[in-house]
Amino acid sequence: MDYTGDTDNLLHLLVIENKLSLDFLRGAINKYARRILDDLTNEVGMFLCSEDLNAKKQSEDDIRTLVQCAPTALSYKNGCCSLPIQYNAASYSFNNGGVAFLPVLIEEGMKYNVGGDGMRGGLICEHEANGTTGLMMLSSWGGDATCCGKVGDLLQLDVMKRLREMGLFKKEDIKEYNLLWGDLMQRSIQRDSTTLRTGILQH
Amino acid sequence: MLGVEAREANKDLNAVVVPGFYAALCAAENPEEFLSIIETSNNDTMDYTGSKNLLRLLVIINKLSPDLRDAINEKATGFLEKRVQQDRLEPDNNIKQRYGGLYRRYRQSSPPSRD
Repeated sequence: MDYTGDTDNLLHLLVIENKLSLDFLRGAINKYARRILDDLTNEVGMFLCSEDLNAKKQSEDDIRTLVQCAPTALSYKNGCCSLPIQYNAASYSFNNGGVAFLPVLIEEGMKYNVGGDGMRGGLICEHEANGTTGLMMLSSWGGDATCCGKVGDLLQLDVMKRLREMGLFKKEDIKEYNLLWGDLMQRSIQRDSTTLRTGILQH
Repeated sequence: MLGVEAREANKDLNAVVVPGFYAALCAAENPEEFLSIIETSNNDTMDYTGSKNLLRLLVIINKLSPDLRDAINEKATGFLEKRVQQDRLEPDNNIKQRYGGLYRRYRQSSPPSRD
């Protein structure tokens, strides 16, 4: 598709938008812009629940911008009833490193109360279909997929450390959500090398 | 100065019929007046976060998936078409009411050059 057409024209218009002196004109542009962003909820949600979310292609800032523009996409549920946060906490997101965006998604999710009050932006929100939480998926659904030179378990560990620093992963969560059991039962080869286990126990 | 600045901006807007912008161009008595209108318009007292966020989104569009880019492009097309359609359909009286004093001069002037 040719993006030098309408998208480009729209970009030009928005670049000069703040120079337009007429409030009603700027108001009209603003109104349509809001409508476009609202209309993109599903598309952005689908993007966040797919392998298109790719740590090699997008930076954290890019994803932050995207979800700030269409915050309702954080509450989008895909065909398996997963929120973007849950999708990216699970092992199938490891191929392209989608799990690395989890802290950003949670941080933004907290601003918009994803999953409801006290759900830490959706991190401890129960999955509609299987009852697990993003935190449980993050700790137990390990995989051997590699992204950015790291296997899934190490990507998980990095994310858990960051969540810990952000105060979103608490010591009592290990017991409350049975995280150690989930960690030990999985078959990933990295579990044997005590990486993730050590990480959890240290915290 | 007006000729250069305004026509450059106008080039970008060729695909978008924005009477308000044209009205401001036509209403300006001289280049300096038009420039002063533009320069004094940056003290935003209203909330234009929709425009700003859409601009932020378009800046990162090339990093997104083809599907999402297609969706954004489609909506951009809708945006521009709606704008054009609305302006074409708008009754003359409404335009007059909205533009006030600018309207009279706008009607008396020929549209600005697009070259």
